[in-house]
Amino acid sequence: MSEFDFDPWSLEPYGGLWILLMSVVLMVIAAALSRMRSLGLEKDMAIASIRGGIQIMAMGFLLYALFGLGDLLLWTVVIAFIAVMVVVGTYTSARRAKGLPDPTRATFPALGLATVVTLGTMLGLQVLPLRAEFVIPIAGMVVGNSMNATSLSLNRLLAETRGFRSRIEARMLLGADAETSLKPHVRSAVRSSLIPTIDTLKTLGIVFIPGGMTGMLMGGVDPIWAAQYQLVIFFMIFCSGTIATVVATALATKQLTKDGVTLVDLPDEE
Amino acid sequence: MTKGHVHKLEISDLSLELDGRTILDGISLDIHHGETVCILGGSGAGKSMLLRTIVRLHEPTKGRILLDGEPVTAMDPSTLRRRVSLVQQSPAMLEGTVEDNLRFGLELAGIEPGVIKERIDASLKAAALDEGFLGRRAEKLSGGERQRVAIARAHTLCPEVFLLDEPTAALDPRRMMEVERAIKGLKGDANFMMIIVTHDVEQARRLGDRTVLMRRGRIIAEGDSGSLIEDLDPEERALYMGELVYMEHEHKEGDLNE
Repeated sequence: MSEFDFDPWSLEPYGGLWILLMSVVLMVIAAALSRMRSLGLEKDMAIASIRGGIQIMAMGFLLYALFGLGDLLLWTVVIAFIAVMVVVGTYTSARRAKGLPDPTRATFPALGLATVVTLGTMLGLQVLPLRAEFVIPIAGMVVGNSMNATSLSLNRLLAETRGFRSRIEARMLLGADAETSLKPHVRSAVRSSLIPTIDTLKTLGIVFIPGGMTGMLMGGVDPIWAAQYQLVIFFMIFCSGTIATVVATALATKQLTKDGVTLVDLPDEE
Repeated sequence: MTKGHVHKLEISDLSLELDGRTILDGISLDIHHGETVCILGGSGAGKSMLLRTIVRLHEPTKGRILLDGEPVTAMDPSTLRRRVSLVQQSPAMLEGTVEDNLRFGLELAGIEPGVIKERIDASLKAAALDEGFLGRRAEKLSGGERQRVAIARAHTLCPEVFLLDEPTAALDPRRMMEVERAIKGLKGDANFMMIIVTHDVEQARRLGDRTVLMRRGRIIAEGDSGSLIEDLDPEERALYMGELVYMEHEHKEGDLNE
C-alpha cells in the first residue's frame, strides 16, 4: 500500500507499536511538568490521551475496513461518518455555550451548514475527488475546526452579554432593537474566534507546517502538490469557520433576546 | 420637533415574577402630565424593577401599564423606549466619546444631521454640561459626569416620560447637587412626566411633587412628598427609616470594597 516499509504491528524501532509506546514519553514529560507546577492537569492529560488514542485507532481500523467496501455501501458509511462528526461537534460546542436556552439549536445548523457548503463546493468544483480517503479526513478537519471556532465565538458572545449587559440595555433604552444592541458583541465574538485561523494562515509554511501536509510529506507525496493541497484545506477551514461562527452567533442572538424585546437572564458562569 | 405628550401613565395591578420570585406584587399607580413622582424604598423593594418593567426590559406577569390608554406591551419596543426614557442606576456609557453617546439614539431614529446637532446642543444644556464634554471619552468620565451624560443622552430623544433610577446614588454631595440641578433643569421643560427612584427621603422632598413608598414589591404609602414620611404611623415609619439607614450602611461598605 505504501512506498516505504511500515509495519503497524512492529515493536522494532520505527515500527507502529514502537512509535506509539515511545511517544508516550512526551506525555510523561508534560504530566511531570503539570505535577511540578501544580497545574492539576495530569489526570485530564491521561484520560484525554487514552480516550483520544482509542478513538483515533478505532478510526484507523474503520477506514482500513471501509476502503475495501463496494461503492454504495462505502458512501452510505461515509455520509453517516460525517453526520456523526457533525453531531458530536454540535454537542461539544453546545457545552461551551452554557446559558443559552437551547445551544444545540445554534451549533447544529452552524456546523451542518458550514460542512455541507464547503465540502459541497469543493466536490462540485472538482477540487476534491469523490474518494473516501479524501472526503473523510478533510471533512474531519472542516468539522473539527468549525467546532472550535463555534465554541470560541459562542463562549465569547455569552461572556460579553454577561459583562456588558448594562451597556447592551443602554442601547436598547435608546431605541435600538435587541439585535442591534448586541451587534458589536456578535462582531467581536466572530472576529476573535477567527483570529487564530487568520494568524495560522499568515504564518503558514514559516512557523507552521500543518498536520495534513506533514502527513502527506511523510506519505511520500510530491511536496509541491502537498503545499497546494494544504492551502486548499486552509481555505476550506477558513470558509467553514466563518460560516459556522456567523450562523451560530446569529442564532444565539435570537435566543438571547425574547422576541427582540428583552434580554434573557443568563445564569452565572460555571 | 413637535411631539405629543403623554397625559397619563396608568399602572394597574402590575405583578412581576422572576425565577419564581415575586418582585412586584399588585402595583397600581397613576401619573399625570407635568408631574414628578418619587419612589422611595429600601434595597429589594422593587423600585428599579418597576421602572424596568415600564420600558419592557421585563415583561409583567400580570397587570397592565397604559400610556394614554395604550398598553405598553402592545407597542413596538423601540418606539416605547423613545417615548419613555429610562436612565439606569450607574448608567453604562457606550463606546467612544460623549458625542458618540449622544448621537447613538438620534442616528438610529433616522434624524437628519442638521437636526442632530441642534438636539445635542439642547440636551447638553438640559443636563448642565458644556460643549467641552463632547470630545471626551465617555468611559473616562466620573460618576457624576456619566450620570449627566446619561440624562443628556436620554434627553436627545425628546422623551415624554423620564424614568430616573437612583440618579445620585454613590455620588458625593457636590456631584449630587450638580445632578439634581440637571434634573430640575429637565423639570423646567415640564413637557413630560418624571419618575425618580431614590432611597433618599430629602431628595424625594426636593424633587418630587408626590412620593410613593415601596416595600417588598408593593406600594405601602403614597402622598405629598413633604408630609408623607411624617404621616406614616410611627411603627411603620421606624421600620421604614430603619431600612433606609441599613441601606446607606450597605452602600458605604460596598464603596469600601471597591
